[in-house]
Amino acid sequence: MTKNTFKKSVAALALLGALPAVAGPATYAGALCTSVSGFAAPSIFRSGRLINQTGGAIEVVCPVQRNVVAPSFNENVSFLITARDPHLTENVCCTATLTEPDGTAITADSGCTAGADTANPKTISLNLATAFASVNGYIALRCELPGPYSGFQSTLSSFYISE
Amino acid sequence: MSKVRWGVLGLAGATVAVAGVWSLRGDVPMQGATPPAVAEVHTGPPADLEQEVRALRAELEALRRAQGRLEQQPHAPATPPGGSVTAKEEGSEGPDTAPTKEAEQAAQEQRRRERVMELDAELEAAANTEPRDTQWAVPTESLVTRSFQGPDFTGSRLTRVECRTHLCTLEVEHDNGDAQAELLTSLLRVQGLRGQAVVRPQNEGGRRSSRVYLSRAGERLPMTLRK
Repeated sequence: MTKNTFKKSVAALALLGALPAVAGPATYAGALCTSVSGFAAPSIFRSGRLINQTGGAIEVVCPVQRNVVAPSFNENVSFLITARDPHLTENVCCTATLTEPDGTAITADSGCTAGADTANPKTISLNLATAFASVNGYIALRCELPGPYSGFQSTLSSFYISE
Repeated sequence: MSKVRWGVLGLAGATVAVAGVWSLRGDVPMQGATPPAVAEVHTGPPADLEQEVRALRAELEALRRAQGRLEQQPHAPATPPGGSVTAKEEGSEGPDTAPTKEAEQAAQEQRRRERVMELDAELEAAANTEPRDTQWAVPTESLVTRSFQGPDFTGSRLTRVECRTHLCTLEVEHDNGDAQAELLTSLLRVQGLRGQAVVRPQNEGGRRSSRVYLSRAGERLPMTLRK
């Protein structure tokens, strides 16, 4: 009787674990991101913002901590990137990518800020259908920050993720 | 004897009286009950019934799939590594939970593949049925074709590109795995191609190729997500 109850409990727990898990949203500072533009490294402010103080455009990659129990069966993940884009002709553009464990990118969403604003931040909203990735597929965010414009620098402040 | 005659006559009289009353009531229009109308009888199955049959068929199909998965499960994790017969007999946690976990992971992976097939079918249907907006499709096809001549796409060849109204379908061949892995990242670095993208990589006997579904900039691919 006890053994039977134990087995049922184990089966119930296994089924519970198999449910598509929903994790709470999280916001990360831009400081997590790493430059992939060779020696053109961005500056990180004490607030955690990432600022492009180089003379030209740079590209950064931000790793994303996955915090769902069953990532391979999660339907979608949403991103909201907060950036400052003072450039009149170029924009801050970000691409969220879902990649198989072997490194093959299989789905992505890309978006840019619109217009220019030296004082107020702008947002970019992205969405991925993560059901495409097999077990241990991973997510990364890549952003392009334009060079300075009239003394104002572009900034990647934070990125919000909801799985 | 006379009593019997009177009884028979009485019974006959009562029968005649009941028949008379019945025939009179038949002429009176009835308020409560509605008589069956021949014109309202449906010759074919009603729409509700058809929907119910469809729903039942879908349920039967789902049950058959579930049964198939359950039948496959005991064969997948035959003997868990490190599990001993003695431990199993004692009902310890290790050998009992390991197969359950593996079987559940296999079932979960199967469900995910089925879901991916659903989403793929939706994308393919849109790619085949959408009308063509030539004002967007023609320049986008040219942009994609030109982009593949750049250094980011070294090792990849565009064999087909077709754009409709909201999405483009690309077919690409690759020289190696690196070119295949970087295809999506390179594609979304092209200015003017900012949107959602899904890649279906294939490797058949060392021949690598990819099918890409790319949405119009700022729009989403036609996928109905469950959440």
